[in-house]
Amino acid sequence: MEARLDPEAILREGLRRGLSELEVVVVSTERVTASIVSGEIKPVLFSARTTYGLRAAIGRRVAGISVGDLGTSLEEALRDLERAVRSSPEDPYWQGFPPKIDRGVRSETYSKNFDYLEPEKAVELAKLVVDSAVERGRVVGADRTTVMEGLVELARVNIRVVNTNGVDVSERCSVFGAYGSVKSVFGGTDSTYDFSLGSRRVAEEELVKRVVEAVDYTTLFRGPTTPESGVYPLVLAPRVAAEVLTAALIPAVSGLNIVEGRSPLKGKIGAPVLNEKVTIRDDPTLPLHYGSRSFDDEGVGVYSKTVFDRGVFATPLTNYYVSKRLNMESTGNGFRTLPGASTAPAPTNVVLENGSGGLEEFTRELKRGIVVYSTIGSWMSNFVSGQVYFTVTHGLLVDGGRVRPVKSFVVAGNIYEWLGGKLVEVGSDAEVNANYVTPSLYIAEAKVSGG
Amino acid sequence: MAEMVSLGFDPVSWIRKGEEMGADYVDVRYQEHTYEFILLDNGVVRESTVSKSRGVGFRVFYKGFVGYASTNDLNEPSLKNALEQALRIARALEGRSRPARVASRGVHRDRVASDYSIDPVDVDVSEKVDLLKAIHATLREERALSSVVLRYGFEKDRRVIASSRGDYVDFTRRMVGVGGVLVAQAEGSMERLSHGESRVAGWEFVKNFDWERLFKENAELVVGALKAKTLPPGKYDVVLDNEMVGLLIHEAFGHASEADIVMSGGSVLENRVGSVVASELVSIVDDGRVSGGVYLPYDDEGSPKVKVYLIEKGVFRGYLHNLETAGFFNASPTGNGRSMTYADNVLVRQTNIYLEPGDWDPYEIIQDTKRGVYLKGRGASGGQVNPATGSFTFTSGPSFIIEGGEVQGMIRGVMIAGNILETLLNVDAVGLDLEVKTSVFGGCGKGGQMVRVGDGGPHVRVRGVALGG
Repeated sequence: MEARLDPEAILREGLRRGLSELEVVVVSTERVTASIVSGEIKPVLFSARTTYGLRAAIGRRVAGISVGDLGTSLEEALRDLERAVRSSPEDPYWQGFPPKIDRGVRSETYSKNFDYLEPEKAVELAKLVVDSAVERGRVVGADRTTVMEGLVELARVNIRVVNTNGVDVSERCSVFGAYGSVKSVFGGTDSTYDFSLGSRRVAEEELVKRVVEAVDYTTLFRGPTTPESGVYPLVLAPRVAAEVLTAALIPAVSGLNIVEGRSPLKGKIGAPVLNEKVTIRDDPTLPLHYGSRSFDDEGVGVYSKTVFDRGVFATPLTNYYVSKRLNMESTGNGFRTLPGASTAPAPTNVVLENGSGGLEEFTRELKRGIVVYSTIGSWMSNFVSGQVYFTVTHGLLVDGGRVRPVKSFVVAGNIYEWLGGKLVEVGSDAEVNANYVTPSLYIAEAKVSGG
Repeated sequence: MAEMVSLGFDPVSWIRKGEEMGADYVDVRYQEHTYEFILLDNGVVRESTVSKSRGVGFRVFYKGFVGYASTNDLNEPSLKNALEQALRIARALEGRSRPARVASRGVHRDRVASDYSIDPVDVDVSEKVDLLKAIHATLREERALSSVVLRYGFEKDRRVIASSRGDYVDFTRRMVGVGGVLVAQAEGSMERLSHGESRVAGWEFVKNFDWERLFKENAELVVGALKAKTLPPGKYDVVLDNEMVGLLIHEAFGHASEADIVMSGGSVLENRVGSVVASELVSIVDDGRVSGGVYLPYDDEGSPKVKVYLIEKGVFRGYLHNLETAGFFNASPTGNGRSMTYADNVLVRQTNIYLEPGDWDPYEIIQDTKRGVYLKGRGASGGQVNPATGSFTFTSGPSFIIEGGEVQGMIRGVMIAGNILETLLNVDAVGLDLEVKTSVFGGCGKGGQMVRVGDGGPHVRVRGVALGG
């Protein structure tokens, strides 16, 4: 889609109207999705949308608008922006929009497969999902296997960031996403499992692998019960490890949460806070990974950085605003929820470095314990207190060599204990789930609320 | 012509164009959306943003195959391109999918807007900031608070739905609210509490509400939670307050009764219509017009939202439908076809789900409980369900132990887990204090789409619920 409002004209005209500095973000997205319902492909959707984010300051008064109506004129947009800025109170910490900060990193964010964004390709991939599931169902001996629901998404996104302090960057990104639920019927009993995938390339082989794996899991998790309440050793599969980090740990490394007093990591830069087996990087340079970027949403160049180095909290993630308050360079982690909103620190690709062993080895080592493959509710964990909780939908209870499927119980604990003194091992079986690369985790004990 | 002037294009003429191109049925969804958001972070305005968007989505049926396409460029070539794209997609699905059937119903033509007295758009930003600053000032006395984030939100959502059937529904809703996240810290321990109040209303709601009292109560709660114990894991008899009941039934029953999930084979409620799924004290309703909830007189297919009993005295009565699922199940549309924006496809979604009141005084429920937990919704984070396995979960805010029929010491927020087909059978007391709420800051997510919903109920007691924290 062609942009209607001219960013240079916005900057020029904004300055002429008395705004002291401006920033323009243009996000153009073209997206096709194919849904799967009960093994059938439907509906299929195409959308094209361009949204402008305009932010400006007069001294320390700052505000922004998002314009998602392409009929909006330059005059209307600037009038709304100026009104918002003039009626906004001063931000005493305001340091201006960033200057040009280019660290020379050019990440691979776009796959040529997206040059021709046709709905037929999404349909073809959705059909691949359905056929792979059905075929695997036959192999594992299910009476019937279907993809109950699912979605395949292909999108290309162009992002341009321009400001009056010299930033003018553009980045083209491709997005491939797929998720779904498979159900197998074995002797009249249903068993289900979910799969998901996110990447910047059309990862067909990986998609098939995940669907096949999901069907295999429908055999493993047949006829689950609920375990007794108590304290158990705990093994988390890679995707559950990613969920736990997402909700309970990574928001705490946001420089904004640290300076504003809502992170337990405040005052702990350079201090050991996790087990020395834990090293976590934020890496925007991984080729065609879901969170890969060359610039963040305010045009600051990105780079790979170690956030926890063998348990030591090495650096918070920052945008330009927070970096100034922390008296450090921006880490290039300023991202927005809307083009006209301010940025906040957020991760690109989170990589938990491999240790040794993996899900199978850890499960074999358990005398009595719980292995968690799939959960709901982990996003409700509390990064402020470090409290982790989730409800298990697919798990295994290992008890004296006997392994049986379990579900519908709460697992709870504290992330700094789980990744601290209670950490037995970090696995070496890293798996990519959207922008997280995580192996399995083996934790000495966690609270279980079940029967 | 008046319609074209007000929208900048004429939906009816585009429907005709689609039909002339070979479509059997076309509907056009136009949306104008404004969202104003102000965030005061420890006394500093961190965010003051207004987002405005406008766009058109076409849905085309061709021999029962469905294509969607949308654009936010309302000039003729872009609209034509989107319409053609939708038809092309529908045609491409022939032979690769199963055709859908749209349920028949009457034609609806209406123009309706939710009630308000003062349009928040007409209130200066400085007045909104002053309100947040006044709340912040009252919280400064509480030394244990290490972070106070306050937010103001206003949403104006106008949707116009026109269809080949002849429907033309033009509906505008205004929602407004104030919320906040308080963080308390003492002796190396930290806790947070997120809570707010929203209404389908105008600025008058914000102006007349006692925010200082609400946030002082929230501050006391979060500071109290710092010193509170964690509940030992296990099964407990629980008394749920109004907000917790809303979360329970939204997660534990609402999603599983959405007919698109049932149609996909992903709901444990499949083939359960007419069977006992809850205690006879339980009646659950989905209603788009209940007081306190989100106002939805029509859905995004132009169907009127009718009051639907999902459960009546413990018996499951039926599913929530859009036009397509109603066609599939030979049922009547219930007005639950909803999409997040004009660019999204229509799913079956809840509107306001609530449990109908019974005859227990809430205090009597507590007095009648020898030992248990009083679960409070203030500070709860939400919930999630896997309707295929039947597992659901949701969290509470800081809550209280019940001993000997009395509310005793505070405990930190807990997570609740249960099974759809079991938990509601264990309800043995239903209060008379119905309350339904909604939020302008969040909603319910499904299939990558978030929509505003409401939920609630009276106080309810459930025996033997798994709690962890």
